[in-house]
Amino acid sequence: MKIRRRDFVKVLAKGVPGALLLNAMPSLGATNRKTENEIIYRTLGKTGIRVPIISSGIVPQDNLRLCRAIFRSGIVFFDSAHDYQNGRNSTTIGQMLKEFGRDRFTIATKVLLPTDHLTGLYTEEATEELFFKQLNTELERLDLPYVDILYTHKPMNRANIVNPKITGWLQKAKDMGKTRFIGTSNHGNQVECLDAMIEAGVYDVAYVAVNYQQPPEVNEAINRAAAAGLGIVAMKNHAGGFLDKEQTMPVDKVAAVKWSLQNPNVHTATITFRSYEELEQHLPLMQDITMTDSERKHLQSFTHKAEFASLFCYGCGSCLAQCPKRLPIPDTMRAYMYTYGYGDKVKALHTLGKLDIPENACGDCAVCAVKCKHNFRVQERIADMYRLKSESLSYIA
Amino acid sequence: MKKFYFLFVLLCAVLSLEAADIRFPETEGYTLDEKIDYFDGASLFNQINGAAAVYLDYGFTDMHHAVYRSNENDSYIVAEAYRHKNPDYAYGMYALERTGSTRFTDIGAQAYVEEGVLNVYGDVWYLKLYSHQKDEKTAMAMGNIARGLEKELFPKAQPPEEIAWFPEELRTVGSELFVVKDVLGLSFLTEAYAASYKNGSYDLFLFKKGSPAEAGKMVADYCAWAKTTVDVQPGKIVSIPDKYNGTVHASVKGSYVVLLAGIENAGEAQTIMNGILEKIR
Repeated sequence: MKIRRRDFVKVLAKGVPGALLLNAMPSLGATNRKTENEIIYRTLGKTGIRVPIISSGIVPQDNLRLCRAIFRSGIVFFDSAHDYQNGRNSTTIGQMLKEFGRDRFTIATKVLLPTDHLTGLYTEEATEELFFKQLNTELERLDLPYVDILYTHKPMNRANIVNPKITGWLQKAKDMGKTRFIGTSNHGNQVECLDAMIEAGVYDVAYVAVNYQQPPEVNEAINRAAAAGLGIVAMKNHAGGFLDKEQTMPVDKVAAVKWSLQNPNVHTATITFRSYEELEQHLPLMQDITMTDSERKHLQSFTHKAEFASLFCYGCGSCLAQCPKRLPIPDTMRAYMYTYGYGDKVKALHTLGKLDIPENACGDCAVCAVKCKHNFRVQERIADMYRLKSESLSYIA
Repeated sequence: MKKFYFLFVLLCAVLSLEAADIRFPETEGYTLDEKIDYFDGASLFNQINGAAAVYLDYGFTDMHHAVYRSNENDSYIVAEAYRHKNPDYAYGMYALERTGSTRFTDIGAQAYVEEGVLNVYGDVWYLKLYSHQKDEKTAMAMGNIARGLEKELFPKAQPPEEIAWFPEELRTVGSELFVVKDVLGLSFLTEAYAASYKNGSYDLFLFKKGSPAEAGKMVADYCAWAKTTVDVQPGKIVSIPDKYNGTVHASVKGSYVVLLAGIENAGEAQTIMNGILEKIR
């Protein structure tokens, strides 16, 4: 039984008794095996939670009718955060759970601890008190005794992810019954973050940016994380919504989500639904994520793919031992990426500000000894970044 | 030479980003960090992550982020000034984050306090102040900072006048919004003031169009989408069978369109809609 469009509209329409899609969900007690085969479920790693491959990001708090339609549609996994819309996102989800019941839904939320702008590391203000204050506030907003998944929000680097203080608080929240599972949510630096989650060995779920613009190394890291038992939830599937830098070529959003889900280790993709149209477009993916040739071709027209890939340093560190001057190459490459990839010069200067790059750092080396496995022209980029740093300082002075 | 010129332009860009074009006021007992962070549409995501998408929908242009550190202990106050493309969009973002249980305070066009939070709307600005410290002294300092910014940024700001036209009877506290897109979850309906009634059982929407003709066209287009034909005349209420939202009632007055969703009965709809139609100027 495929979901027909007119059935979909009935389901979404106000006042329709019951929910066709929810009734079709095997996890809700349906026994029809034929139906079970229709909805694509994946298991969130070692949590054992089975979820449809489409889930919900921020809900439309300004439109409770659409919220109800999403809850009625068969989507069962909802993501929130302490800092989303000053808490209104969680309050709205809490209101919906009262209307639709708690048991059938999987709820995730996040606590956001302060990090230093320069180092990216948690500051002294990242306290246990703040952690539990945010978690308890979220539980109040959701009106729940526990959530299913609790993430730390954008730790963004290895040091924060393996920080024993933080993992201890997460574990404590689990032990106290305030969350069933724990994880981290990162919108960038995916490879380092995923590998750090594997290394820490305490996490259950990774919430990661996954999209067609990323280099293959991100999917490889996802596969390693999934093999280590982590559930993988994908965000940012639309990758900003455009194929080109100038934002004149809107991406086919359905094709973009399909792309993310081609990797079976991506267990579910969260979508922020703002309209019925978007919901109607994405919901059929719960049953069919086959990509057409035209969809593949469309995504391949992403115009700055090569440029992006050539800027992305994975921080493998293999360059460090090769450089006779022991220059901080990965961090410098990251600053280069901020400058030319993200257009974020402030962040680049912040990164460069804490690096010790001597003047004419590469002057003694006629030929650079570093053989970057991604073929970065390391010597040239270091010179560019040194110039950027020194000239900005002299200009300011 | 070309490369040096590029670097010079780059440095100018950096410096212009670094230089805050608003002055954060001093407040007793706290020291303002020298560094004021600045975020534009491209970098907001680095600061507020997934919430950035909604801010961008609401015409976000830039944000200044300042930190005040206590002179007595390790507490601090964060002050963020979000600028939006026009006052309606700034109000919309402010209102979207406003919770129902609010304590309003007399700063800007509208402001409210919660434990450790002071949020203010005025003109194109949405100010967000917060601290992990909840005591009275911190709250007073936050108020001082907000008043200082009010003086600098929007000394005479008023809320959108249209909000006052929504009937007060049965209106859900804090439900007044300005929705920028996908009104009623429909992608072709944009930019409407809105309020909920009877705990969300019905909603009123008010659209300000460029002219009476545009207002009439909006209703006609909605009818066409719903595959129904109705005679759209000023002042007359028409009922649109919306496949997603049930019956939606519509009426045009001048350049404004009023929609009512959540009420099926035409007579009841008329009574409710008259409450706002008669206030439209």
